[in-house]
This record gives sequence, C-alpha cells and structure tokens, in this order.
Amino acid sequence: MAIRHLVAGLGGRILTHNRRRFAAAAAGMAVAVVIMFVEAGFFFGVLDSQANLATLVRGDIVAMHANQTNLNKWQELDPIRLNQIAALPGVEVVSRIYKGNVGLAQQAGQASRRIVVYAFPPDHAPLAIGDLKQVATTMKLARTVLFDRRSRDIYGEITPGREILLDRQPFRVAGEVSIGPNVISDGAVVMSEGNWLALQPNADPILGVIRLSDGAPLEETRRAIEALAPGEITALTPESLRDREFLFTIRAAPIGIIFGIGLLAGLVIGLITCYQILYNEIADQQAQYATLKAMGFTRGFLARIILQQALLLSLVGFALALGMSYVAYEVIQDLTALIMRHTWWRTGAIGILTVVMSILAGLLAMRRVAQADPAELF
Amino acid sequence: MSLEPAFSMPAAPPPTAPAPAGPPAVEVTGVDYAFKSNRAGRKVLRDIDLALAPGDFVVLTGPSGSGKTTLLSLIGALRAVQEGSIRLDGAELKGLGQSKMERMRRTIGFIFQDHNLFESLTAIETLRLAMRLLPERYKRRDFRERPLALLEELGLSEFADTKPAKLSTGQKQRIAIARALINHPRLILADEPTAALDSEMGGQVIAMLRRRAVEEKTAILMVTHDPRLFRSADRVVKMVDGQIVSEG
Ligand SMILES: Nc1ncnc2c1ncn2[C@@H]1O[C@H](COP(=O)(O)OP(=O)(O)OP(=O)(O)O)[C@@H](O)[C@H]1O
Ligand SMILES: [Mg+2]
Repeated sequence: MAIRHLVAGLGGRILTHNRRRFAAAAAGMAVAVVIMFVEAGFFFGVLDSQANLATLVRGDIVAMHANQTNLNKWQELDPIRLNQIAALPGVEVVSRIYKGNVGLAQQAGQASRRIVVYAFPPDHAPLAIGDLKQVATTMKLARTVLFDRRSRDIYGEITPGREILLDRQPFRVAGEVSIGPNVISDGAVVMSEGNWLALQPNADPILGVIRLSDGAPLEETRRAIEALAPGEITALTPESLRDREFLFTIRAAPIGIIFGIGLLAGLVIGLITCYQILYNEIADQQAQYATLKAMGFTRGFLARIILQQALLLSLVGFALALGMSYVAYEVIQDLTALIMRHTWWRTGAIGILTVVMSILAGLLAMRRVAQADPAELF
Repeated sequence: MSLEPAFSMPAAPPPTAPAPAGPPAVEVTGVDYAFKSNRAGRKVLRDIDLALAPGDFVVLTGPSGSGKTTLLSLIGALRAVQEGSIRLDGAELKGLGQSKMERMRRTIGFIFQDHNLFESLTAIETLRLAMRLLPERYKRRDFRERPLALLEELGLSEFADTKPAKLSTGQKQRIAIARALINHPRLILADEPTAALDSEMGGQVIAMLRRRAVEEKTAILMVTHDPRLFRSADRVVKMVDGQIVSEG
C-alpha cells in the first residue's frame, strides 16, 4: 500500500519538494481561478439580479401582458383580465402587483433620485421580501412605505421612522424589506395598493401572481389563463419566468461575451501559469526524466507523473481560489449590490474547467519530457 | 611513477573452462553507425564485432571521440541499430520499435557519469521506484527488504532515508549505482562510473561490480580511461576512430 502511495504520489513528491516554490505556484494558479470565479460571479450576478423578481414570487403562476417580454419592461395589464383569471376553476387567489417609478427626496427642495415602487394588496403577500405578517401590518398604514435595505447607497440614510418625499408627497418609512437592485434600478420601496392608487389614480397592475387551490392542474390552468385573451396574456411559472429572464438578459446585452471573455482570460492565464510551472519543473529535472526513460519507464508512466503534478496543482489552486472567491464576492456585492453567490453547479463547473485546464497544460508540458533524450545521458 | 595501483584492485579470476552453452549476453556483429546530423555521413562506428558472455567484465577504452559512448548507447537500446546486428541474450535489437526497446532496457543496468537522482526522493524511494519497472518480479515485502539490503552492501545503510541534497557526490553516485543494480540486470553498461569518486571509493565500486559479475553472471561493459581499472577486467577492448583495434 505504502508503495502504491509512493508511486501514485511520485508526481506529488516532485512537485511539493520545494515548499516555497510550490506555494508560489499554487498561489499563481489560485489567482487565475479567482479571475474565473469573479467573471462567472459577475455574469450570474447580472442574470440573477435581473431575474430577481421572479425568484421572489410566492405563487404558482405569474400572468402579465404578452408585450412584457421581460421584467424590466413596463406594460400594464387590464385589471379585468385578472378578475377573469380569478374566476377560472382551480384558481384560489390572484394578487395584483403594481410597479412604478417615482422621485425620492429626503426633504423638500432636495434633488430627488429615481426609485422603483412595488405595490400590492397587503394581505396577499405575493412577494417573499421579509416577514410576511410584519410587512402586511406596516403596509396597511396610510402614507407609509417599506424601504428596500439592499438599495444602493445613493438615497442617503433612509431608516424606519423617517419622513421622505415620493414625487413630492410625504411618506413615512415604516419598515424595511429585502429585494435588491439590478443593472437598471438602484433601489425600491414597497407600499400598499391603496397608497399607490392614491398617488397614481390611473395605475394598472403589471403582474398577477396566481395561487392555485390544492390539486389544481398547473399546466392546464396556465394554458387556460393564456386562452382567456390569446396574444394579450402570457402566463408562466416563476421558474420559467426566471429562465425566460435569463435568456432575455443574455440576448439583450453582450454580458455573455464580456464575462465569457473574462472567464476565458482566467482560463488562459491559468493554462499558461500551470504550463510554465510544469515546464520549468521538467526543464530543471530533464536529466532525471531522461534517466527514467533510459531505465525503461514508458511514456504513459511519465505522462502520469506529469498529470499528477498538474492535477495536484490545480486542486490546491482551486481550493485556495474558492476561499478567496467568497471574500471577492462579498466585496463585489457590497460595491455593486449585485447578487453574488456560489451554487454547487457553478462552483463545480469552475472546478471542472480548472482540472481540464491543468490536464491540457500537463499534456503540453509532456512535450518537454518527450525532448529528454536518454541517449544523451552517457 | 609507481607501477602499483594506488588502491588494491581485485584481480580477474583465472581463466575458466570454455564458455557455457546458451547465447552470449551481448553479441555485436558488423555494426556501423553514422549520426543523422552529420551531413557527410561520417561513420563514427565501423564494422564493430564484440561479444560478452554472461559474467564477463569487459573494459572499453580508447581516445576521446573514438565512439565508445555511441557503442554503449546502441547496446543499451538507447539508439536504433542502423547496420549490422546487436543481440542481447539472443534477442535482436535491430528493427525494434519504441516500446520493445523500452522493455529491453528494463533488464539493463545503466550507470551514467552523472547520478541524475530526483532531489525529492530518498535513497530507498529511488530504489523502490526502479523496482516498479518489474513489478511482477517482486512481493510486497521485497520493496522493503531489498533496497535496505543493497544499501547495506554499498555501505549506504545510514542514508536510506536521506535525500540527495544531504549527500556527497560519491554517495549520490553510489545510490545511482544501486539503482542500476536493484533489479539484478543481466547486463550493466557503465560510462566512466568512477569519474566522480575518489580512488578508494572507485575501487570499492569496481570491486562490487566485479562481485556481481562473478556471483550473478552479470555481464558488465564499462568505459574507462583509467588504466588502473584494467586489471580487474576479464578483457580490455580498445577503440580508435570508430573501430576496435585490440582486444585482450
Ligand atoms: N549526438 C551526436 N550527434 C552527432 N555526433 C555525435 C553525437 N554524439 C557523438 N558524436 C560524434 O561521434 C563520435 C564518437 O563520439 P563518442 O561520444 O561515442 O566518443 P567517446 O569515445 O565516448 O568519447 P569520450 O571519451 O570523449 O567520451 C565523435 O566524433 C562525436 O563527435
Ligand atoms: Mg564518451
């Protein structure tokens, strides 16, 4: 067993022999992998932030105007349609969600900043944005709003209890919710349907959040909703709404290309770093590798030694980078208010990319081993 | 100048009965060789004939550039035979592919001028690595016992767990020699193996090779310029300008 370990670990022994050099090599790899993490984090951060509303929905189906091809487009829905939906079999509740855009100022005379308003009937709780009961009770008071604490800093100190102006009308901040800005909006306030209609008497809802009664067929009901007014209503589950939003964002903005290039840059830097490290290590021990060849070790055996080193390097580099990426995501989230988070498959995908990259570097470095000519040893 | 060698050298044993039946360990016939890189096609080996029976200890000598190293690398299956024939234990080297040459080399012990030890491996690990070439030969406990026994034989017991950085040049060279011996090769090829050793150490190494030849019927072909080493050989073969000019 010990023997198998020794030889299984031969690459490892060679690579880690010089501790300081190995630490520097692993750090170099980690930097490349962190770049990949950050680029991927930005990419998914933008996607997640744009589609954020879909993930906050508390319901089975979301109905909207068919022209509303994405969540940041404003297209109001005829409230009659929502009443029709409520009358369909299997539909338990339909919650109206209004969305608006107002100027927020701390005091009269001060410059105002644009902020998004979400409004809905308080008791329906169609969005998961905080403690449901507390949100409902505070919303019910006249002329109150709840401030999104994840809004960007541009609005100044806004804490519960403060008086603010929305489109020059006084409101009291009665509490806080958690929504999060995106690329288009910097922040949000939430208020009751009644308060919103008092401010904007002609407003119509932009979304209907539909909850079905137990056992009601989801897909069938969804189709029935769209059939109420073909070409006018789109009905989607929150999951497919989120996916549609992802796709829309990818198509609408070149973020795939921008962050894809960044990710590729990380990959290439990692590849070059890994290759350099292996190349130098092999070059330093050219005669040793040539001796192994002279003794009759096969090309496959030598390849295994090199790939062991590549793999070890990539795994240690990845582990370091993963740790560093948590810090990086925290910092970026603080700075940009984008949603920066790790998921198993994103982390796994970067891990696989790292390993593939190191194997590629190992195969390239093998050419240096191929140059080691045992006939030149005598 | 004293005619006596500076260190005592085991003399060759008295000539024994005719060589035993069976193929020679090494049989070189009519070998010519020209390096591809030489445009003029100058032959650095010409019509070489040489045979070593199992247990033969042969010294190869001659002026610099006469082709000794080239001949060694051909016999060691490190270069492809161009003209003529080289047989090891009856098996022809000419025309072998890469992987068959590799397999042939596993039964040869190579001792190079430089030790070429991995800095990251201890002496015992270096020997175990070499044993991995012929895993079917060994039981698990051989990997523990054999290297220790061999290191003891070479006076290196105390360095079993030492890495090359903490060894003298001579000690490193002796570990490289142990690496060549660990698998009990049928043939040992050595190019100036004692160049890095002082004369006493060199004498010990030669004595040990000598013992291998006698006890295990290992054929040994050793290049050296040092006339003091000639005495311990069965034969001294002299090369000049790519040809064998004398043997005896
Ligand atoms: N790789 C090579 N490419 C081209 N020519 C070579 C090569 N190696 C050796 N030669 C030439 O082949 C001839 C024989 O060289 P070789 O190394 O076999 O001599 P040698 O007897 O071992 O010499 P020395 O005692 O100096 O080691 C020399 O003329 C040398 O220049
Ligand atoms: Mg030479």
